[in-house]
Amino acid sequence: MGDEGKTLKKLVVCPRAKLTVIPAVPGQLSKIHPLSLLDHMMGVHNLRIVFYYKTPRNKEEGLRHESLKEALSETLSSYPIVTGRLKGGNEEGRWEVQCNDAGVRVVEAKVEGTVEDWLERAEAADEEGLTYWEKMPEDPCFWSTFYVQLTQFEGGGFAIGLSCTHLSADPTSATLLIKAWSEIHRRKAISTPPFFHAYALSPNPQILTVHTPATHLLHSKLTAQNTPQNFGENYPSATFHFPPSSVRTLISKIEEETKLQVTPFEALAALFWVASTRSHHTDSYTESICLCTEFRRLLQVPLPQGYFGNALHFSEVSEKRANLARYNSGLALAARLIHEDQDKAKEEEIWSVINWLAARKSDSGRSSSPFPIYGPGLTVANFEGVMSYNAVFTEGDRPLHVSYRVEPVVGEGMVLVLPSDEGDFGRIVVVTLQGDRLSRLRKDKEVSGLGPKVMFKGSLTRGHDG
Amino acid sequence: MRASQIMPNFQSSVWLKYVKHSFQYLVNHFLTFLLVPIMAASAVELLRMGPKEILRLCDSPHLGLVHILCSSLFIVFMATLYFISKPYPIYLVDYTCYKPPGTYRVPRSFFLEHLKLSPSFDPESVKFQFRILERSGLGERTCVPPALHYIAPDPTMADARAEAELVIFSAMDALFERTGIKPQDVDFLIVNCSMFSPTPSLSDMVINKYKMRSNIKSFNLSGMGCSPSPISVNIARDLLQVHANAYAVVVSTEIVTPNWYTGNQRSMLLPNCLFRMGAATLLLSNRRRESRRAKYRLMHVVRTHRGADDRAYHCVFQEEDVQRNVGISLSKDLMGIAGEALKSNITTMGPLVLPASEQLLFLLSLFARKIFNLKLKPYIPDFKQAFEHFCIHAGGRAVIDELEKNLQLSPEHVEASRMTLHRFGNTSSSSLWYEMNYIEAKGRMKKGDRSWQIGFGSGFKCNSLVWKCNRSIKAEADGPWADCIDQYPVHTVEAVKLQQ
Repeated sequence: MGDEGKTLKKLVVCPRAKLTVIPAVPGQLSKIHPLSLLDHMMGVHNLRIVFYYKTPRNKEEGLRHESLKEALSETLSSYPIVTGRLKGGNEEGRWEVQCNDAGVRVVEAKVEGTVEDWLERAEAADEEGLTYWEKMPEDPCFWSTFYVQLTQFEGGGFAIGLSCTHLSADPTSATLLIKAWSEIHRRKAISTPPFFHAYALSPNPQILTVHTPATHLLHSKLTAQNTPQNFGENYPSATFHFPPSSVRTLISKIEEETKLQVTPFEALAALFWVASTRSHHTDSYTESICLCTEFRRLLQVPLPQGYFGNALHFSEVSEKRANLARYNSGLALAARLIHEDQDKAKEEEIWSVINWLAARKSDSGRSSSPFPIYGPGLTVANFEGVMSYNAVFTEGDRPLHVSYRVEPVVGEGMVLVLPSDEGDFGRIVVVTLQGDRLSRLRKDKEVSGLGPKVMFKGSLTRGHDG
Repeated sequence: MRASQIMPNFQSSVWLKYVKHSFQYLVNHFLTFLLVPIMAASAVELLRMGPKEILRLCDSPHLGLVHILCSSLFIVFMATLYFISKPYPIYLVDYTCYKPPGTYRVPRSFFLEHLKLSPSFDPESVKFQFRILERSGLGERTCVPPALHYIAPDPTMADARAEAELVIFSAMDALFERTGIKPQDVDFLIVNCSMFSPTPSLSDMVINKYKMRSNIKSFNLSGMGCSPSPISVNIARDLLQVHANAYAVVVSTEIVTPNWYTGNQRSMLLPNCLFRMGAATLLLSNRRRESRRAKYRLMHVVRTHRGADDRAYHCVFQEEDVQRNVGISLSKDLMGIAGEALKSNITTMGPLVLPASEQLLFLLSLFARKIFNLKLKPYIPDFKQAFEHFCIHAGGRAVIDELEKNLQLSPEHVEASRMTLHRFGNTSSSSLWYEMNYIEAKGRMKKGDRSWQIGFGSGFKCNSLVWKCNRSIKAEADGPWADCIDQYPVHTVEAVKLQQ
């Protein structure tokens, strides 16, 4: 049984592998789109997303490189920012995107076996082979900000990998791009058209730079980058697949204790918070996590769902380790704290962060370069709203599985809560933790008691590109 | 300039114009001017004679029955001889041009990026190709086949065949649909593609795809550069003179896939920047019943070959560079040689098409210079009087500029060529047909309009076709220009500053 896993390690990339797909309709080449302050904030990170599609019943029905590339080209006509190139040094010292139709890099690849086999046995490091990424060079004027990899499983099935810089898109935007592509592939109109508005998240002069918990958190992240971190390569990862029934059980358990109606994210965040607390020993009195929430609809004047760019808010919750480490009561306490954080209005904090970033930008020198945001503390991200399973390329064929990863991983690690193929209350949780915490977390009673299926185990090849 | 100064200039130029027009009218309709007084005189004479005298003339012994019979027989005989010896009219029933999909586009930024990322080109070559592209006159919609969208493309023969099938079959399907004729009706098939010549040939490929008749006469021209479209039409014409009631299909294309140059020799880098995918298919016939729906009638074919001159022969030369990369080397003399080839061509073309007034002026100027040794500039006949439309091979900006200057054409006359270069790039032999289609799409082609297509090609050849429009042509809803004609003409700036 163990030997079969080894045969999956061969990932063969086609000889004529790399090309560029351009938008089918010429765009307005003089258009320049400045990136927002929140986009800049995320500049250190990049995303990798993989969509898996099942083996078709007969060979003729499967996804094909040609039709996918054609549909992508048509889709890109609506996304001038995705096909543009970064241009530096505008008067505010920020990156801008020159919408010059230069296109998106696409890599064509093949791998042995079927996609179903792969999902059973592949490890975290294997999954990295399904996406393609190039680090941003000094001068990015010829550097593509988006990369797509089309991998044909020779036994049957397909994987579409998207990687992009976090400067240009957050997981919601990136997913909507793939969803739009799938709709064009099915010859339908784009249901959530992209909304490009460079100044939607401009600093609000009406709100003075008030120091809020959110700005305090950012400041601590900024200073943390100067203290030595564990930049070791050892970041084991695992993907937990929770069926709807398990999540319901968890929610009702929490409800019993707290009398609160919690969302699946809150429940799972609490679960992994307490489990991760128990998984390591430290002298620190408190344990805190950083919660990442997507805020398009949370603003008083909400942004459209199709807003293309970064709209992520980071907040912190902490509690005494001793309280969290207890079984049952720790979980309930964690859930309450997270629920309270998620429930409160974020408007003022969001704008305070933008103003803080604007104030910081006006200082010259190295202080204005981006710093890791997902870290150094454990980051638990709420990505359950990304509509990844709506990316249907062939009528009736929803993705078998969709994986998300954020790079680089720094500090304690991260937990990403994502929707699952089962829909409803089912969730997929991608956990990446420093050192040997993950192996202990997997054995944690509260986690294993819910019976999740664990996929993509093992170490990532790249922890921090230091 | 003050108003009083402007007025005399204006008045004198108007006066000159009247003089010029009067002279042209007089010389061009000289025969009419001669005949009219003669006919008037005869009519007056007849009227003066009166009916009785006319009858007496008829009854006179000079005009017996035999004479009348012989005379009428003679007239009938001469008429028959005339009709038999008259060549069949050659009609261009219709033609189609391949329109590549937007997904094959080569935006300028993409092209430059690929040059930079390609391991084949050194920084000097990249810079050189940047500069060519800036001045090229190509727009954002020109297309290359999918195999060349890869970074460091390494196209296979299968890719080249795939491109050939795509462009040729698309255009041919459209042609059959438009004209309503069946593949089995085609008597002659001529395919020209200079740079891709597989075995079996492209014409065999077409015959195989469309299951054409076993007694079809097929021809495949390769290696003839950018000018073989007139050559193919010439072959079709000659065949249609010999065979009555026949259909000939001409396919003009250039397959771009196998011709991407991956070396660093400067003289060979131009084609990468200019050549783009395209194809045209024509249906020619000598059937009388096509005279109603045919778009054009072929008036003249003039072919000029300068191959006897070594310089001309070597000016467009395919060879290997020092690293054994195959490319087409263009010599610096190219424009000069093109100018000479054009001069040869128009020397033959002139007497065929120019009105008598221009020919007289040219002759007078020639006499004055050669016989009387007067120091006059050689008179360049005004070809604008012979043609309403000009289709100059969109070989590159330089070619169009050169011809605009040499033939003293206005920007409107070369608009079709410039816009074709902008929208489709240099599609080699089929470019003449995209240009014709531009003129039609703009609604400028009226019945009776004469068009001159000039093609240049390696060798060095200059070939011309003269067409007369058979019926007023409306813009097509499915032509290659249909979706963008309203955006044209665009002003192609001298050099577009590109991000480096």
